[in-house]
Amino acid sequence: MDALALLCTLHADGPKTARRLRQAGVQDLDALQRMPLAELADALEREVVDAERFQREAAVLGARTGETVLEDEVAPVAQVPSEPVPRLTGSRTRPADLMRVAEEPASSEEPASAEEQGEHVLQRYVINPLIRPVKGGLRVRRLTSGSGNRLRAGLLAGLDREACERLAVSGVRTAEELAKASGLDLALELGWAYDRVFHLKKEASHYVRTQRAHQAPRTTQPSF
Amino acid sequence: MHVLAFVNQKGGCGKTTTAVQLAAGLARESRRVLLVDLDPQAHATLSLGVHVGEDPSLIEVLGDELAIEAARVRVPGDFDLLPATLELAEFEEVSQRMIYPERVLAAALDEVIDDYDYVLLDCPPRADGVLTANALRAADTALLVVECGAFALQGALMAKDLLAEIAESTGHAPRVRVVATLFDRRTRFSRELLIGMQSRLGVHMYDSAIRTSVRLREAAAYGVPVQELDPRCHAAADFEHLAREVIADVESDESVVQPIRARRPAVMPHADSPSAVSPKGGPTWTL
Repeated sequence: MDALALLCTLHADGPKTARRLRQAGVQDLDALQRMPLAELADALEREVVDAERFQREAAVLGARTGETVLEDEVAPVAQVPSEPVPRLTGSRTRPADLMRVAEEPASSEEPASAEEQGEHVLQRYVINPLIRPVKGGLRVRRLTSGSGNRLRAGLLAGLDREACERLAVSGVRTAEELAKASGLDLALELGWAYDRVFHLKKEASHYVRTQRAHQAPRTTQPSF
Repeated sequence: MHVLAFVNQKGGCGKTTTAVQLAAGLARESRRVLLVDLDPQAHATLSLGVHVGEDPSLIEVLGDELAIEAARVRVPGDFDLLPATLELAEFEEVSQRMIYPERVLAAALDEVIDDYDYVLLDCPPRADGVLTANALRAADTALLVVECGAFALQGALMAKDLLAEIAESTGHAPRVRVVATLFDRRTRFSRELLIGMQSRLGVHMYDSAIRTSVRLREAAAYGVPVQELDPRCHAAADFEHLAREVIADVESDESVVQPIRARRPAVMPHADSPSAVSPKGGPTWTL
């Protein structure tokens, strides 16, 4: 069973779909992701929306099974550019795309704002140009970065500096955002075990509730 | 003739169901099929509507008292069955008096080599018994049946290692193929297990994963293959795909064709009947 057959078993009609795809010239997940949506929809005998979803699932499965270019084409550490990597715009960046941490000492000065922190994190990673962004991206719920309790190492049990950085890259910068994020999607995007994300979300929810309780105006005892 | 043994030391993983339904699937593809029930529980026999103990069975064949031609029965699904009985469990004890007990089945099958395209061997749920050793000795392909349940991956890897050990001890190494059963696409657990199995056993796995279906249980209760009961259900489709895959896999690979040589083993005479002679003229043993 190759990854294409596995994808068809998980998200379609099994070998029947796999046979149709192979007849259409699709031999692996990479070819499936490159296939135009209309052609894929024809091959699947489904709507374009279904074909798009199928391609998205192929990207996720490819990253998990290692069939896509992720594993083989990692840029070696020696090729780490000394200049800051320009920030990606227009497409979301998955942590899986950020292959290696540049071995430069971390700045002793903490970034002031959440935006600066995101920039800081991106500059510390090397982005492999060979990796194509996932079409349509993953489904992590993005919240507007507003006020809140900014995540930092030690704020929550199990939250270290690296975890903060990876969460920030995924757009989760505050405890409030972490508490409200979709745990499953976040775990998929970060490549973490779900129970770790679940634990962090639970801690974040508890922290936010505690903070709100402290900040709420104290009501005076009514006098009769 | 291609001989496939359905093995896994774990019970309830779908060996018998897969063997019965695949036999029917291969028969529908116009292949001549013999299903041999090696399990003393005789579930394959029962699930094809054959009454256990009323007809000649495999134990007489293994005891060299009957030829396969005399013991086989035609069953629904248009293939032959060599039925089992509960007495098959005694073969373990009897085999201790034999020199090469693991070669008896292979020798018996050699007599029907021209009658069948496929012989399917439904093994008992243990890997260290002489019945399973007989099956692995006769088989050119060991089909490891793995359910998508708890400990499935661990069990499959253990079974694979065990097969390698048995192959080493018997001096005959059938190639290993894996088929996933009891797959339920609706559950995340099942999907994750299949991904895990694919990553570890992918090159040996068939593309067809057999989904859970109540139709399979009903078919066993009615004593017919699911293709006869409801040819349009998804279980029938799964086994149809699996049959085609097996045919493409086995028949395209010439290396798996290993003609079974006549190797009826010499048998140590039983203490109570030192001069016992079989109807075919060779030495025999008694139960």
